Amino acid sequence: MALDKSPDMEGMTPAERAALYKQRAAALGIGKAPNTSGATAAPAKPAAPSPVAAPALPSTAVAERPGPAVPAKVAAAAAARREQVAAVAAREAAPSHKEQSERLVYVWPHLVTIEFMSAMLLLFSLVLVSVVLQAPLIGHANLDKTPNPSKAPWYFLNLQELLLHMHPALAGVIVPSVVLFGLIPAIPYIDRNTADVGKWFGTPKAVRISVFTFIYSTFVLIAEILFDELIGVKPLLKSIADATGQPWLVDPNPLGIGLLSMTNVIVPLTLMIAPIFLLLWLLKLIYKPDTIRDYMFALFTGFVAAFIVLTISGTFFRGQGMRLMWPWDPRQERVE
Amino acid sequence: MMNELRPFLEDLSRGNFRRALTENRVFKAWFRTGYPSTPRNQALIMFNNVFLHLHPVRIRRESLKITYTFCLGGLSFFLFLILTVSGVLLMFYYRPATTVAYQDMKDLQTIVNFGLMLRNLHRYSAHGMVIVVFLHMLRVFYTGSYKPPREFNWGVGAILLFLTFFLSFTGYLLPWDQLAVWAVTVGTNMAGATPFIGEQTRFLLLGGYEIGDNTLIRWYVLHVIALPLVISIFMAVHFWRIRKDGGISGPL
Repeated sequence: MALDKSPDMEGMTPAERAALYKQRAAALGIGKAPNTSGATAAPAKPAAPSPVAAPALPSTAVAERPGPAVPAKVAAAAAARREQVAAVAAREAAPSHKEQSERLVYVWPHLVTIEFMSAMLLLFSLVLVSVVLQAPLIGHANLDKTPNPSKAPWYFLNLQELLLHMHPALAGVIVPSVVLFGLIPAIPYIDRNTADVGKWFGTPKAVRISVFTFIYSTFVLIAEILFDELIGVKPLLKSIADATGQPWLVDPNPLGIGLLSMTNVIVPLTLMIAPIFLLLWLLKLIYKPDTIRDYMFALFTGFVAAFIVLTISGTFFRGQGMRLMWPWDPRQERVE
Repeated sequence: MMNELRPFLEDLSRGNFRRALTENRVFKAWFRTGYPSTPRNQALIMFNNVFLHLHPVRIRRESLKITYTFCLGGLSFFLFLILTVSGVLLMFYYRPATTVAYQDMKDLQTIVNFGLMLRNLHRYSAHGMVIVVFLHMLRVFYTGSYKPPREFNWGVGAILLFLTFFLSFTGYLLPWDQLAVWAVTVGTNMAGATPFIGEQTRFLLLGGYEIGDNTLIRWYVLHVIALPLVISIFMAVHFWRIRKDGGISGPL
């Protein structure tokens, strides 16, 4: 048929082919109402477009159908759609029952063996570590003697590190809540394309983007920690406030609302969010991400990097007074 | 009665011990399926066993690949089981009162047989569970396994991560040493910074204005009963949902 894929269409882009279909449909007179002169032909409304678009319909249905006229646009779209369906059918013939059966394996013994072996391996290594390494138990609790430094368990030291740089509500409650109950659960509703499901780093640029993001985030976080330790948001704003005569810049409670403080909230929040946008812009510039999934790799990797860097910093690089220091500094020792 | 026993006795007298042992009602009631070496028995054992029925009878071949999952989800659950067993054993020796808790810990380490190892195992498994659950989340993200139809289960997973942190943190106070109380002081002060309801949150967590006996019993009850129950419910939903969403993710 005239509206099927013809040999001369090889090597054309789908858009070019769609244009050609449209031309041919017009040449065949599809789209003009039958038995009327051109002058009076009102643009015919597409009668139910569904039978036209239905891919299983033989192609004759479009060109030779008597009755209400089919607009050229619809006929062309149907042809393009037919071609797509044919391509999918050619690529992936439905697996036969036998083939499907061969893709499946019995859970007993295949999966249960793997599960059992991995569980035993983990148990033995944990028992081994438990025999060799003693868990800490220091002196009896004494609420009158504050150890210096006082630290939370390691998986909260990222938040404790954050706490050193901003308002406690922001560091201890708002940021972790927004991440754990807002951003992370929201991921699947934003990134819905299932093309890369089931493959590690499923898009062509995923690895490069993730590696770049991890390195970038690590550098930014270290730079920000060093900046706050060596220069400091508060001293910097203090000197600006003194020089310009704007005391509200360092007011911890402007208008009586702590969450409006420049030093505790606004500046730290900006320093958290601005590098994310800078990262997305850099990625757009360098890697030209193809899909939203590529950006999602970056955002999630940034979160992982932040979790790791802040945990390491809070655990190993904070000593007495929670000052920044090397892990081997003598002031790392806990005193009471 | 004698009629029913006759085949058993006959087998015994003929020296057919294997048949005497297996071909009777008692054996078949307790071992409902024959050894799973035939497709029929391989299917039956999954149907007839309450623990195995978490799994389907058959799965896609790709799902077996260790470098795809690294068994992280299963190991998270296994760590929970280790923690439950070792935790129950520890409960026999530990009393949640500020006057005795620390001494009970010392006794565990010095007097109780295997007490030191038991405590170490519990503590390292707890750290391990935090790490493995986090790694499991990374695996699910980087393989795109949260995408439709698995959005809901990803959300359940986020709740499970939070509960894992909270379970681990509530256990941190129980040894009642300086490390424990001051870590919890830091943690509850952070929670006390919650906007609008900070004071109330801190009071709720401490059972008062200061860390003490009320805090210990609260965290103990949360740690040994309340949170394990809650996390079990969410784990049940999480596992059931894997089946409903068509098994673990794989290439299309």
